[in-house]
Amino acid sequence: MDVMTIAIPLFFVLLLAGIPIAFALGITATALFLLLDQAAFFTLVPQRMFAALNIFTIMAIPFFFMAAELMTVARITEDLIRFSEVVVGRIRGGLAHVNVLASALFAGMSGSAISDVAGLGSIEIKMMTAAGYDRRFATAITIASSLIGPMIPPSIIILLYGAIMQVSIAALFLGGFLPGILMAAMLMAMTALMARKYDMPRRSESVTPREALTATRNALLALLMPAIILGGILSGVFTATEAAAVAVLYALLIGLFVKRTLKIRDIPGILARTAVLTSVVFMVLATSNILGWIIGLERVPERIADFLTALTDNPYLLLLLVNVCLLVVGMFMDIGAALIVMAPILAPTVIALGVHPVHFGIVMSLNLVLGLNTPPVGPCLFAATSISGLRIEQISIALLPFYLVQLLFLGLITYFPPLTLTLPRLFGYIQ
Amino acid sequence: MAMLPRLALLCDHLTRGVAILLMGSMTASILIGVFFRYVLNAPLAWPPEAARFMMVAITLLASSLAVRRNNHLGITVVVSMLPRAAQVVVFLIGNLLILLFLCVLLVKGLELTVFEGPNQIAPSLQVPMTVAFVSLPVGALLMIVQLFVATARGIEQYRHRQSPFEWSEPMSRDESGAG
Repeated sequence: MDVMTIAIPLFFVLLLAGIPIAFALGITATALFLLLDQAAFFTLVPQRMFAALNIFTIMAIPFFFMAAELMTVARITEDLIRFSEVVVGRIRGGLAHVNVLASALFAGMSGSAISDVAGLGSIEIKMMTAAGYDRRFATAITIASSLIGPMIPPSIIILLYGAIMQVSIAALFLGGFLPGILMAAMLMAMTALMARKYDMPRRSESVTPREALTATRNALLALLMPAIILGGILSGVFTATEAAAVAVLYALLIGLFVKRTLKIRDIPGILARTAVLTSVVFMVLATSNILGWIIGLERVPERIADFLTALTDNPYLLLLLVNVCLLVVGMFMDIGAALIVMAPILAPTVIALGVHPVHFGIVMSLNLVLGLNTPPVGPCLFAATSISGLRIEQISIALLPFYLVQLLFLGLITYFPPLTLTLPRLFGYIQ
Repeated sequence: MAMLPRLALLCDHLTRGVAILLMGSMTASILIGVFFRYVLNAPLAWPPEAARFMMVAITLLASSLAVRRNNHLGITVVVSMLPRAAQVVVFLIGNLLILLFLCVLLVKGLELTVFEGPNQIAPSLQVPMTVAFVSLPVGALLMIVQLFVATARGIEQYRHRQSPFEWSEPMSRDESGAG
């Protein structure tokens, strides 16, 4: 009997029945053990879960969560916004550009889009509406720019890909850098077009040199952080985990002693939140590893490969298929869970047809990232509803022009590999 | 049964406290490791391994905090389209399946801890793997306790004519220990 003809429908039924993905994976695996008439395999449940979690590389993830929490509570994020305002505030639609630039800067310290919406979003939306921007547009640009967070390194989703697929984290991080910059540039271009069309406000008063100096100095303090993270990882001095822990220490010291915006009593709450954020991602990682054992046993990746290559052996067409499939999955499924479940199944086929592992890692991660801002279940959309007081439908409609930008962006990343591969090559991480 | 909510709240407080301690210690271990390796040039063997075991424990324990607050991520758009009565039935069956899975994890995790743990020695820490494995059954037990709280909360939502699925309490930063 073919186990997979039962496993796949079962998993989807459980998933659509509203069972959290982490448990749906575990239940499916346990049910399959019963079906294989091998309750003896039940011992694999704790063993595989432990094995999936007992990995040093993924520890960077809680540290990235923690660093972003610390920076938000210590209001280091405000310094980035102030600095961006000094740089691009005076052009038409200035605050919208500020919104994008601040996200690009914050992306160098935070690894997720949600941290961006939570850390920068409320301030940005408040500033923009006060300056006369449409609240819907302000929210849309906040969400669209938050997606730069997981593109420019560090990136939790890209790190997860590297850990699961055993690809160099440094190479992947470098690979995400140019796409992140490109996304920021494309958003700014779209903003400039819209600013002219809708006659958006610009700031009239200029900044005094003194103000500019203060803003730059404060921002530099924050911007040392990406230098530590990236410099540490790329020079090979630190592992990603060590670099992330050092970034936590740095944010802690700045918050407690330099800016003094962080209090000792804030710390337990930050640690508790980090623990829960971590657990939500890692439980999926743990239970998917139980199912992964059966998937390996049943040679599922090979069979998916046979199926896909029977459809086409043209890598470009295959990438198109994979992209459409991932976009749909990303609209419904949590990004981390989707990556954990889909990467081991899809990557081998695509790579066998000649797509570079680093390139596919970036394409897959960024594709799923787009799902963060699409209905019905985009976490960034949801986070923004509570900040802006707008409904999902209102925000999604305001996001339409940015969805176009994102599709164009995805096409460029997919079909123009040098965007991804040039930097890792330059630094000698890949051939 | 009247004891359960209070027991669960107590578990939640304790779990939160332990998770905070573990998270702090995990960070400290890595930083101590970095300090000894790069500053003192005398690398230590234990920090990465200790931190890894703490990370496993954080995941399993904090998962119970997430279960209680309905923070684990699922797809609820489809199920929310069902009639309300069907929703609550699906909700209860789903939670029963989760309970069964957690029971497997509890029993097999306990076996792993008690029977396998003492036979395996952690390479760097030189302690029995019992200390690492024990977070699996403990986490499963705590998740079971909090699953009852979450289920009760879902039923209450249903009684108030709301979806049993569509609620969630984010783990707040300034939660002063209160559930």
